[in-house]
Amino acid sequence: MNGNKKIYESGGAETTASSLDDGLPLEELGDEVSPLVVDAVGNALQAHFRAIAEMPLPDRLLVLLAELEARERSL
Amino acid sequence: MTDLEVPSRTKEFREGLIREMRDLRAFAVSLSGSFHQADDLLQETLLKAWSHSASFIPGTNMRAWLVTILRNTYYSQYRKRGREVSDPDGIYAARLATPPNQESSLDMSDFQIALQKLAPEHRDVLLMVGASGLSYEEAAEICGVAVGTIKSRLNRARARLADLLGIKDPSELGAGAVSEAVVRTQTSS
Repeated sequence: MNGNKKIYESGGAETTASSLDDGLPLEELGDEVSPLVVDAVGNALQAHFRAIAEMPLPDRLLVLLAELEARERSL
Repeated sequence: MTDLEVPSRTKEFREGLIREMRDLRAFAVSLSGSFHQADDLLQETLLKAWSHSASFIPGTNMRAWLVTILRNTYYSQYRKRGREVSDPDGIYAARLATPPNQESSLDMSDFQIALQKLAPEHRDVLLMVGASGLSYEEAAEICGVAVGTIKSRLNRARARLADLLGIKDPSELGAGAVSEAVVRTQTSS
């Protein structure tokens, strides 16, 4: 764990900050992340997100939506 | 506004809401780390969105609008819970207990665990920009910070998440202590 951290911290100090944090004061600069790692994290995040989004919505939300609509029509 | 105008506006609004519900649920689960809490959040967000539909400006990003409502709801509940030190009825504790099916399979995934370990401001921006596809500007407006701060947080969030998940860049492994470790491993085997 510490080893990984060290990689990112030292990478952040040595690589260019212009692409993501152009013009920011030093305290705003984050750890620089390589494009390969950005892609890998992005893919993992998307896969996690899509897996949940593809699940059917729970009945209670569909029922609520139907009730709101019915109330709207009765106005 | 007359009664006649309401249904047509609501139909379009409703269609937009339905389109966004699933992604919004994914956002809520990822934010809270719990399907049960996410569905409570979604229900409250739906009610708020419906009753404040007039404040939504057609043509603007409904997803950003809904995320704003959901996130505000979440953090106001979060703050409220923080003040309630005791939980005499065990209601919150019961919600946190591992429920059946979905909860155990996805909530406890390595990825979700890693997400929950991130600082809230890092998780926020990762979910808004990285997962929900909001722009830096929209995320900045929602969080009430500068666009540069969003970019910086996103960068830090990616680095922390990669660290937590053990994702490494092979090219970076070629330099420094780690490569020495790799070499040592190779020569000793």
